[in-house]
Amino acid sequence: MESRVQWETDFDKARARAGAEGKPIFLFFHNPA
Amino acid sequence: MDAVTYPDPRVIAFFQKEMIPLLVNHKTQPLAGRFNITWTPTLVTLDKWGDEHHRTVGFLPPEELIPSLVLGQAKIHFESDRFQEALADLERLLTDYPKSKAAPEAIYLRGVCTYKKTGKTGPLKEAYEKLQAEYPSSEWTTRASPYRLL
Repeated sequence: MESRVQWETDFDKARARAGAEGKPIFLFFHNPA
Repeated sequence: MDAVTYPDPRVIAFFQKEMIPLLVNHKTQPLAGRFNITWTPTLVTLDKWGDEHHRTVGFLPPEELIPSLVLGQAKIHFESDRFQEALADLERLLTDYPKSKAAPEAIYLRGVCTYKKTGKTGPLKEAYEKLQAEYPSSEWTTRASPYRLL
């Protein structure tokens, strides 16, 4: 198992992966400040 | 959430198996505008085409995040008329996370899904009765209250 969440940071890439893998997307808006 | 929720092994395993996690700064355009982001953290469940089906705002610990995301998966299926898959998601939520804050909405949605699948109104009334018995102060009990008359 991975040791941390493997985040995507690009919407189009996440959507392409979601389509290819047949999975939904969890979109997390955060404030890094 | 970065300190508590995302390092949790249950959360890591959930994302690895079931969803594509996408991290976006709340100021990043055009996404922040498209999703009307006004506060953080905002957590949105999207289908594979990028359309929104479920949203929460504010911190969720691991034991609340996972059932919230399962509820989001159920809504994706429900809103595309895939009631059997939605019901499987909801049963899983209610079996694995019966004490979660997502549970009352899952009971409500399970009743609606079963009604839409079968055309029978009994499941709507059963949903209300279960909510009234187990979550009398939940907003979902109020929302289901007309079904007591069925």
